[in-house]
Amino acid sequence: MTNARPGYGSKFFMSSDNVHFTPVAQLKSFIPQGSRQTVVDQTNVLTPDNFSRPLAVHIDSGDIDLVGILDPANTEILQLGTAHASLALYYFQIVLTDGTEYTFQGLVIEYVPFTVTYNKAMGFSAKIRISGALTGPAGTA
Amino acid sequence: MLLPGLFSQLTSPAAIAVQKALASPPELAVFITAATKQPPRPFLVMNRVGAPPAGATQDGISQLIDGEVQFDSYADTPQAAETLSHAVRDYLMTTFNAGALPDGTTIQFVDVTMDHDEPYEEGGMGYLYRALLRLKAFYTEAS
Repeated sequence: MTNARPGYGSKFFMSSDNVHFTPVAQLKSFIPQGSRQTVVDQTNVLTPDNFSRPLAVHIDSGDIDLVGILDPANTEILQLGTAHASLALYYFQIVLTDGTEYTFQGLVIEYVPFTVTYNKAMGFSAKIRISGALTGPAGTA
Repeated sequence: MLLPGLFSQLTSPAAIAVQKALASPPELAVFITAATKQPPRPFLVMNRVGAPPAGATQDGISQLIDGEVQFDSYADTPQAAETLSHAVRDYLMTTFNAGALPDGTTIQFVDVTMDHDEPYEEGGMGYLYRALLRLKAFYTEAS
């Protein structure tokens, strides 16, 4: 049997001091773009067959895209802009619906404070660049 | 609620431009969901065709509704039906546009999503012509 869970109810927290975490309000989605290994090709004339021999040398944890519905005065949304303007490394925590936690440090590298379309609710978006590893239930991920 | 609020607004003195295109008295020529049998003509029938929340996030749904309302204008001639439909469109989109309805619902009209004629319909004692109008509006109902 497949054990599926809804995304609804998951939380995305941020903190400047790793002590006081505040949720980012009214998020529709937060989607990691994926961690990726950088590999070098170590294939050479001594390689025993016709196939490449990649060597993983480091990992980039990538970005996380945030998209939400804007409440213009909500400081739980505005904190993204504060972090973006400060250039500072912030602490982030994600709590999934079942209570699973992921933590990481990152920079708010992109911040769209509002999107306005005349016949839609206003929105906002941001992109977090992960610094180092994402730490989850299985350790670094 | 939205439709009772619109009923009160369209039958209030402020909506005289709409009432000039309606049968008199306006309270007997504006209907919610369905008209009574043999109403005076021209008459207007209002229906909600969509009322989802304007925003839904991890924190829940918004009180603000991204709604769409259909106004069916019935008359003995296509010209009278279109006149009533345009009077409703111009009053709600331009003259009123945004504010509080008499029941406390706050509303902002934002778009005309449909505006066309329907084929005539057979009535009890003749034919009826209908002009169909749909308006999109953001609103928050009074609690």
